[in-house]
Amino acid sequence: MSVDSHTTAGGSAPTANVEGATVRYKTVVALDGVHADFHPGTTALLGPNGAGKTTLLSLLSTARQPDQGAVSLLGAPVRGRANVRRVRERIGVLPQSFGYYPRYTVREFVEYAAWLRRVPSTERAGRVREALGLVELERYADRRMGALSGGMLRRAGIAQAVVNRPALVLLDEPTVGLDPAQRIGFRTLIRALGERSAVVMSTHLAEDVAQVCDHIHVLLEGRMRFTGSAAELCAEADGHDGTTLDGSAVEAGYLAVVGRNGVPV
Amino acid sequence: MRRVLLTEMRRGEAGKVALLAGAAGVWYLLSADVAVSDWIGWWNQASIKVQVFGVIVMGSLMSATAAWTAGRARRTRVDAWSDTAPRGGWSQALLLWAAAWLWSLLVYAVMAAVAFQRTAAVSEVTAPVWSPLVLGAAMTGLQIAAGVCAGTLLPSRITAPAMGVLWYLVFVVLAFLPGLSLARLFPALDEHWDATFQPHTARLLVAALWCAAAALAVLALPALLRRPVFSPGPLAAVPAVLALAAGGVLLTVRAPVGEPFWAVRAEQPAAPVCATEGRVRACLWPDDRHLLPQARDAARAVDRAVGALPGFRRDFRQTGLRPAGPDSAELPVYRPVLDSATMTEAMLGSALPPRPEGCAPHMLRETGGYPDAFLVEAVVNSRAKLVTPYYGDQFAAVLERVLATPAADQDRWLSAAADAIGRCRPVPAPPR
Repeated sequence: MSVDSHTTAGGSAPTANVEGATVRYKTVVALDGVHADFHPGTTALLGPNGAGKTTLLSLLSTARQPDQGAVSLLGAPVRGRANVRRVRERIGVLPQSFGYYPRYTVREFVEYAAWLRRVPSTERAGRVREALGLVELERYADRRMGALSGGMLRRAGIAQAVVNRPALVLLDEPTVGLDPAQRIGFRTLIRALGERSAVVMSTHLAEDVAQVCDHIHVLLEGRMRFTGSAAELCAEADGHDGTTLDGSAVEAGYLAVVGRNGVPV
Repeated sequence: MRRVLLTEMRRGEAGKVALLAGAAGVWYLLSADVAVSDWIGWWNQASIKVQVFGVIVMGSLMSATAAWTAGRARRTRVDAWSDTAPRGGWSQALLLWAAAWLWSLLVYAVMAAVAFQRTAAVSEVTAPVWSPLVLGAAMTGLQIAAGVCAGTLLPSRITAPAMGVLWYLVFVVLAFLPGLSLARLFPALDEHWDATFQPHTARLLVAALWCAAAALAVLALPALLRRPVFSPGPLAAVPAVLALAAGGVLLTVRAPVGEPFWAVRAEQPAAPVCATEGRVRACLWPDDRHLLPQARDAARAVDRAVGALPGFRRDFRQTGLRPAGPDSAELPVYRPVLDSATMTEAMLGSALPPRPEGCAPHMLRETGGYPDAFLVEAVVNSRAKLVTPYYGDQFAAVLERVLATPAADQDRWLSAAADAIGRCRPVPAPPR
């Protein structure tokens, strides 16, 4: 399904909504009038480097506001201190290069994240346990963050992102740098997250998209060029039989969208 | 916040640096020699000593540490997700500040305990002075806040040492500009408050309020400058307004000319403590009652040396005490611990009547051209068995000759000399 204007990917009320968002970095237009809805389930943001994926995530995470257009999250516009604060209490963010304090233990670090997300102090210990349980890090709760492997660090990152039971989880390239076994485990985790929250995942790994995502947005040169399901993206490729839904089919569909829009890859 | 704060205190660098500064501070306070110290025995001075070390040394170090810790979020890229948290930059800065400040307060309390314990071992009164300590604690808070602010805005590795050096330089520069009103906003009270002075509690507390309010306002700055999506709320205006008000008061208040800004003259005691030996009486501030035995010894020695001689003063009042009459002499006490000889020397130095204002000293050719009062003092000191300064062979020969004359001749000459000095006349020729 090609997109030129505002489209929705589902019938339910969107968890997040971007209306004609434009973001400029000096002379570079990172996002150019982007419209998009994000619904419960897992949504992939696909696009080459520089397409505007991270910028779109920064709008959804309230880290910045669009130069033009509007963003609303969880039914509230991302404007005004009180709104932004309420929204931030209900989102979780795992950036591409996940930063952490190496001297903190895993438990302390997730507890710190819970404090930052304003989890009530009476519930904090329980939420930390719950988040560590979700990412299967309870056994390592007292280990220093600096002593964790790459895969465990990424799990700790997920734990900090979900400790507030967010309605919207934003993951920027969450599986990059993981070995194949870790990546498979991570996909399971993301699928589980998608069952309780709206997950928006920026990636350029087609296999992740095929395995995990319910919805797909393709961003090219700051514009939203495709919105639909994985099956619909696969169908964009010539000769696709409509039955296979794997990484290579997603990749073929993605390349077809890219080619149709004349974007060099 | 308690658990998160404890975690930050346990895991952050502030604890280690505070303990290091504390160790240096405790060593500094413990290694002071009670015999020559200018603070052990005086509660005011003990408080000032801790305050000035706390601000200049520990405060500078903790400010540097705070800058380093505040830059950590950017260096480790934690800010990529913490900047999207509902607890904004101000709350995060407050957490770092509180962790570093609490460590400082802990160490500060230990240093104060050491200083007060040493003073209590000398002084016979228990009167800890708190207001300079409160100001020092608040000033340290402001220094740490400035460190957090600088480290957040400029998370470079050079920011931390630069902050430490900057604070140290601020205090050094301000020390050379004592009249500068702006210095009141960065108070490090490196002053000498003997028993004559008491802290100006109101000004010290206003300054503490300025420091605390300015610290909270400064902590909001990075969030205001860096995170426009989620700036601190209107609550941030409260400390800013308080800081402006308190700072404005500090800058506009004037101290009487010649008087210190942070202290006031102590009220005259209802009954100074006095030692009387023979015809000599020496009175001290009640807080310096621990010096009474030395004052008694000194009074005895002075009585022996000039007790019956007309023209000499025999009523001594410690600096700041109201004179009992025109013949009262000021007894300067520069240190809280003095031995009897030093006290005797101080009394004898004041026993001679002062020259009238504008009276130039008369030189005595016979002694090698020294002021004639020098010879009178040397004779008196020798009679009290004190060591006299060496002014050359010619002077020593005249002194020896005077001391060899019969006591009655000496007495006559000393009385006449004292009278001459008080009238701005040359002393009579020394006896032969």
